[in-house]
Amino acid sequence: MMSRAIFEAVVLGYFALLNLTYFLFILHGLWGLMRYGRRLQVADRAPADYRPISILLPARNEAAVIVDSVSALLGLGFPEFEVIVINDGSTDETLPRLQEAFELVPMDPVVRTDLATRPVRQAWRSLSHPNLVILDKEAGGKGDALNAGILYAGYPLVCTIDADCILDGNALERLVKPFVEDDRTVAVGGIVRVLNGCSVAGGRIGAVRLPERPIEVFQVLEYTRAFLSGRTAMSLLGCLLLTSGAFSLFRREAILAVGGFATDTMGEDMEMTIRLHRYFQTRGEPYRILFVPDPVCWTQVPADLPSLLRQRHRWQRGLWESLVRHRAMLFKPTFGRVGLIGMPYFFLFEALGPLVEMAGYLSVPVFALTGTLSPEFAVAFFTLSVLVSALLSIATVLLDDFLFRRYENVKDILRLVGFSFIEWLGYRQFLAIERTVATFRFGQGAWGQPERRSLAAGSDPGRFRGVGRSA
Amino acid sequence: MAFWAEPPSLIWLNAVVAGLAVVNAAALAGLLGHHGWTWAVRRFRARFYIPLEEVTLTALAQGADVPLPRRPWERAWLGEILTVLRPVLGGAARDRITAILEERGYVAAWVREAASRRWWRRAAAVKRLGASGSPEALPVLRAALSDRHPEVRQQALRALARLGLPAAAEMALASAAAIPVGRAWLQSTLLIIAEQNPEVVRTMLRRDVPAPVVKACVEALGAVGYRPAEADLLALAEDTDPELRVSAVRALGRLRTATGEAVLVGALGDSDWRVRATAARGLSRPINEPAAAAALAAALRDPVWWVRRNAAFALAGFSAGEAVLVGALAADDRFVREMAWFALQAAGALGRLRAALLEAAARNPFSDLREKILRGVA
Repeated sequence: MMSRAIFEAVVLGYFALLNLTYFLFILHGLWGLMRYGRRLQVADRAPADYRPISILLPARNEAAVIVDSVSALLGLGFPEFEVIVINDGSTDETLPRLQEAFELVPMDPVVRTDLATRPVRQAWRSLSHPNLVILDKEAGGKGDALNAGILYAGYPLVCTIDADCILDGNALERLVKPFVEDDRTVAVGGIVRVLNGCSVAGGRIGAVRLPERPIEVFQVLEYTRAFLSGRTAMSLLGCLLLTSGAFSLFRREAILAVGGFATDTMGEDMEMTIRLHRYFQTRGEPYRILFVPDPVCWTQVPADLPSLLRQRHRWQRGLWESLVRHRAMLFKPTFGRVGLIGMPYFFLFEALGPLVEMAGYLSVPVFALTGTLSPEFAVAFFTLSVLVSALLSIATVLLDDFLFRRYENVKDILRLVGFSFIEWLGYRQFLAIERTVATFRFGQGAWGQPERRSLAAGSDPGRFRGVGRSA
Repeated sequence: MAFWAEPPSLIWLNAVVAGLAVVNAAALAGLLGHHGWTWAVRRFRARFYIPLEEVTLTALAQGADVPLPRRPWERAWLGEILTVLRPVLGGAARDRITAILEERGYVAAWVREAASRRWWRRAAAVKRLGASGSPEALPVLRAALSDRHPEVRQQALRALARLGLPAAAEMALASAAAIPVGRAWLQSTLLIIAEQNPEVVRTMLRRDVPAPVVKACVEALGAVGYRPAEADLLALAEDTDPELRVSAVRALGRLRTATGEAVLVGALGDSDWRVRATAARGLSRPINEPAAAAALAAALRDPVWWVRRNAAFALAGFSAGEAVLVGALAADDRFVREMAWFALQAAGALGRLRAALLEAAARNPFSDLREKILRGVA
């Protein structure tokens, strides 16, 4: 009886603590976003407000999207940048399509050896676009591909981006601002939004609409919540542990200082962010790792359950890998807020969360079978969970509408609200099961083999099956 | 205690659920209300703001009096519209706008707003005062340079530059070295000042100021092509700081003087590749074409590809350089010959050099390029 009471207290206490943390994040995020919005209102754009950027685009079997994606990047209005596409041992038509589209000619091999990577077979330069470089290398994973790109990068800032992403026209301009304003900035992450459902023309986002499929709408809610409350709050607190690999900007020297991207993890973006924290905290050097909420990267999200589950499986394992690798930072005051807030949050709520959630679900049938379940309590608790979750979602959607107003159509807003109430009817449970499985299998596997559809077909939710890591 | 089986009381839980349901409903109402309100505000602005802007612009262009709007919200917008239009309009219209802003009380209102307790209001007021061009703004902007909020201080620095008054420019320059602002802010502020009064910026180079300020001054002087600053830039091109050398070399490239050009040719042998690449880019329209062509031809063998690329593009900019590029079509380095071909194409020189290119193709040992030349010329 005592053990059961302890179990119930842990589950209920965990539920209360988790949701209290989420609400605090939302309030903190709201304050931060309001402050950011006011700065934008008085901001004065000047021609010299930028730093040149090397965009790194790792690609493995991305033949379906690569030409559209690279063309969209080359069409960005940013004053000075180069695009480095790293073909990571593709077995499809990725390289031939690039050769055909951009008039590639061979160039000299890399001269820098700051990082060890799998061999680069050939480097190519475009004759039609002097700021485009293609590296054709042996397969080594996303981290290895990024490291190879860093060796070729000609500019002090490197932007990592996924092949299935489209940037807003002013995204780089906004993303580079923290580096312009403060030399201590070493990494900045932008917001990742769901491309599914939106119309795309000429490499640019047209009308922003919600996707049709429920599974995609649920992900819109998740992305909005994750970026506008969690990341904003963590950034303000100075303990942001994840700048999305789909769209982040780093100081190249800082990446080199921590030994480049990890090649033996499924979450190289989180691993890099934690490494940067650890490096600078250990040396006592001032640094800033930030999240900026308005440079937007639009990404395709999985449109079917198996792809989504595979994606979440990888994320969960990547999370555990980073937490285990840097366990020495957990609850350590020497690592400041990262050790006392950031790492414990990710450990308690992100990594252990699915396990506690599953324990809660499993306890219901167990107690029912043993005749010790109070149906009234179970129903009331379930309703409470749904309402809390819905309130969190509505609050972030309100925040999004208040500051950015991406969804113009009121029907889309109503659908988002509606889906926030039914998230608990299956969707959350599927993810919790997969993440629990992943928790027990971390440390295995390699970079996934995504299947893509053309970016120009962004409004058609029917055929895409993608598993690119995005958030 | 066993909540699952024997909850102590469901009343508290049901009360929380009911409370949450109310909060959810309120949040939803807030969301829909905000969405609708924003939609209405946008429609409202589209209905009134754009016509007001058009009327104001037409009046200013025709030299007519800017009508005073009757609706109160339009009166508030007029000040905003005038400050947006002032920087893009010519001299006489600028003075008229300044006079209107002073006469109709906009400047006085912004001066009051600059003392607001809210930093974003102070920043916005400071920004508008800078765009107003009014001397009345000067003391307020001077005070704002020491505002407690960094955003207001930055805005004040730029506003002083934008004000267009010599005293304000001096004040901004004197503060530039003292106020910790981002380099880009500094650079763009100095560019604004240099466009109005480059000599003031040049004098900064002779003072003991931090390196970022010197760099920003050099960039600004180069951007406006201020030739009297040549001697200072020549000295800085020899500095030990490679970033400063890059800026000085870039500025000298923009000035286009014989002495500066000689320094650029020398900078092609600099130990830092960024300096070499910048020097190569700066030689695209040389005064002494043979000397520049010879130096850039040597730069086509630079170990850094970015320097080779810039050299190829620079050579495509003048006739002696084009001859070098035609020769480079047979270079051993494939990147150089491909880049030479691309640079000639980009410069639109294929028709003009048809005979030379056909001859080069006939002698070219590389079949891929030979075919490309023949196709391109055809």
